[in-house]
Amino acid sequence: MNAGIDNVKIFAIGKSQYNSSNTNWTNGNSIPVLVDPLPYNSWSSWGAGQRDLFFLNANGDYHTDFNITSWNYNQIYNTIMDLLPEDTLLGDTNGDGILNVLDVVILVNNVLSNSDYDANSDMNGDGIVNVLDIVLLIGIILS
Amino acid sequence: MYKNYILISLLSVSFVLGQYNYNLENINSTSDTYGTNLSPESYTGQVTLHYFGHQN
Repeated sequence: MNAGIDNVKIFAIGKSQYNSSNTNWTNGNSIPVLVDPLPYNSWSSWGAGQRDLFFLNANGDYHTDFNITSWNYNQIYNTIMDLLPEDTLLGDTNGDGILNVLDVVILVNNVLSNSDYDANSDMNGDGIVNVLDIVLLIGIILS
Repeated sequence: MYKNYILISLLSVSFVLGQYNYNLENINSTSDTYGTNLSPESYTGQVTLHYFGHQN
C-alpha cells in the first residue's frame, strides 16, 4: 500500500510457530516484522485473529480493528485518513501544505511514469490516478 | 468492601492500559530496527497499524 502517507507506521506481528514463513513478509520491504513467542500473549491480549488489522491513533489509543482477508483498500485508507490530522491536503503531492503548479507537475509525472498508486493524488477517489485527477487538481488550483 | 472496589478498579485500568501494547523483536533484516524490540509506545505521535498474520 503506497498512498504517499509518511506519518503512519505499519507493523506485522507473526507467531514464532511460523517463523520459517515470516520471510515471505520481509522479502522486498522494510516494515518491522515482529514475532510473538509462545504462548502468544500479544495475540491474546489484542484479541487478534488471522489477518486482523488494528489501528491505534497518534496517542497510542485503540481506534478500531477489522479483518482484511477480503481486501478493502478504501476501508483501510479511510480509516487511516480519519486518524490523521485534518491538515492532510488532498492533491498536495509535494507535501508543502499548498496546492499549486508544483503539485500538478508531480502529479503529471506520476501519471506518465505509471508510478505506484498514491491516494493523495487520487482527486476523484476512484482508485486510479490518471488524467482525470490532473484535470481536477488544475481546476481546484485555478478556482 | 472499599479495598475490593479499589483493587478491581486498578486491575481494570491495568488491563485497559496494557491491552494494546507489546514488546516484540523485529526479525526483518531489511528494516532499520532489525534485531531490536519494538512496542507501540515507541511511536507515540504517529498513527500505527498492526497486522496480525501467519502462514496457514
